[in-house]
Amino acid sequence: MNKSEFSLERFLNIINHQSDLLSLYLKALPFFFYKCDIDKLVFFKYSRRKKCYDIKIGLDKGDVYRITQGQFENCDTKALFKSDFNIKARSFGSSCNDVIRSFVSIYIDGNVKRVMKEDLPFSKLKKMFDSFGFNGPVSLAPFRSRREMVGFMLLYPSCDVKKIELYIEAFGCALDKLKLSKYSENLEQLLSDYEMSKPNEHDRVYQLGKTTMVIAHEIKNALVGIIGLFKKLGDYVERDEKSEKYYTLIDSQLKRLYNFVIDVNNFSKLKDDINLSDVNIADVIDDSIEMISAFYKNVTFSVSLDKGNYELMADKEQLQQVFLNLFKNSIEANSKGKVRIDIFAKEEKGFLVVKIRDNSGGLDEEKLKKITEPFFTTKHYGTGLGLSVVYDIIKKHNGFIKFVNVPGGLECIIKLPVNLMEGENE
Amino acid sequence: MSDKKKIMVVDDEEAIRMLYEEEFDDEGYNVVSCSNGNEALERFEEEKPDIVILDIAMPGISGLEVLSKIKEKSPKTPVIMSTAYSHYKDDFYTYVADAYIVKSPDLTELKDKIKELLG
Repeated sequence: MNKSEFSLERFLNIINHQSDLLSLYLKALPFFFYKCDIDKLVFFKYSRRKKCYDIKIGLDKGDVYRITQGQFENCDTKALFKSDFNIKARSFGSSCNDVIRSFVSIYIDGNVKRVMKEDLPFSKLKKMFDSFGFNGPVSLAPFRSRREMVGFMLLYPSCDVKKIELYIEAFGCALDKLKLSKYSENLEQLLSDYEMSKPNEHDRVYQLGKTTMVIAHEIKNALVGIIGLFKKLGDYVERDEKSEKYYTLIDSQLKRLYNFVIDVNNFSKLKDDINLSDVNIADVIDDSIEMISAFYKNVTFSVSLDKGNYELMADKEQLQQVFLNLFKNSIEANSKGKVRIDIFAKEEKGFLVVKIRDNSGGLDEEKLKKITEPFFTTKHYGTGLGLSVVYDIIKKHNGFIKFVNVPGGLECIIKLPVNLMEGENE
Repeated sequence: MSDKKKIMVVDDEEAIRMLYEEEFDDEGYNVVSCSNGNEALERFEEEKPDIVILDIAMPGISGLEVLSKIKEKSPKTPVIMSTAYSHYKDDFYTYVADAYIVKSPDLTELKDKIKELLG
């Protein structure tokens, strides 16, 4: 089937004004066939009641054709699978890897079969895959909505999972928006304008990220050996004052290079995990100020918090990274010497709003537009990745971020949702 | 035969093989190192290692293929997948591995994993 036969318009027309989230998810599946070159796809959905991942649909290219032709209702693809195959999950919202590891109980033909990993050797797994028609490497892509795992897909043949995740993310966002507007008269508009355009925009960055990742991978691989052996060498060589100096210098430069490569990798979007917990953002701000003050002396911070609740579901470490990067940016962008950073926070209609204002002098509008682009920097030694990472993290938390000029400086406004919405109402 | 446990290291990076050889030798293990997947599969049968540390991205046959072949031959031998970055965790086939670690000059995590798996 020719890929060009796939029409977004037709696809969107099939999504009528349904509130049934699952069928929306299912109807999003054809996208993955077109975005990644796959032949088969099996979608598992998390069931809260049964506490397991249930097989919901299996599709091959022919089915997709039928769906895009508007015959979705007649396309009972689940019947194609003889066995009732579900994967028990330890907890809801586990990361993708946990799901793989928690391949503990498998239901076959309606009977629970407890299997430990040793009981499920490769050959058995293969047998199951054979029943799906998978004859080679298979990829697993988590299906998230609001960072919660609502299901996952097995994709055959193995493909670029990260790319698929971009689309899943976009679709998840679209669904959330849909949930917000109960009367979704303009769903088509919403999907096509707001969300479906995003992956294309992301594609470019994604490609860049991928290239960066390959380079970083090679450098890091070499460095692991070099640093490890260099440490060993230090044990063998007798050191005098001079060689000690050289040793220390090489050691610190190697570490710098190593950390840089890790930084680049963090940016390249391939480290995508997020560990959610209850976080008090006021604490995170305090901690970040303390950490940054250890490195930079000439900075005055002022924090003013409105009365309210500053608890939210978030990844604490990543939020800390956000504030550290923002502070670092304000400090390094300041050429006058005396740095002042004012932080305001308040709760506003289900969002926590944090404003970080500096006295760096601000940026002209052209530069302001590019501020979160990867590798964009106004600084001499900047990598241009700091604010890109900030942007990514806020986005991962389903928040909003923008930078505006204020008298004397730049202000960053962050809005984070207090409650991560339910992935599904079951 | 000594009662030293035998570790098989499979990595195309010479520096890493050397590092592992040195470190695990110090820890009191026998180390067998292979520079590619084919060599690993050939030598696996004769050496019968107690544990395998396997790089994923290698020229020729990939670590994932080696993993599935080793697990077919000897399902009980623990295999630790090791790679520079964690994105391979998404590949479903890594599920059969016993552990997954991200390469680092600090070998503490790897050493702990080996101890744990060898019981």
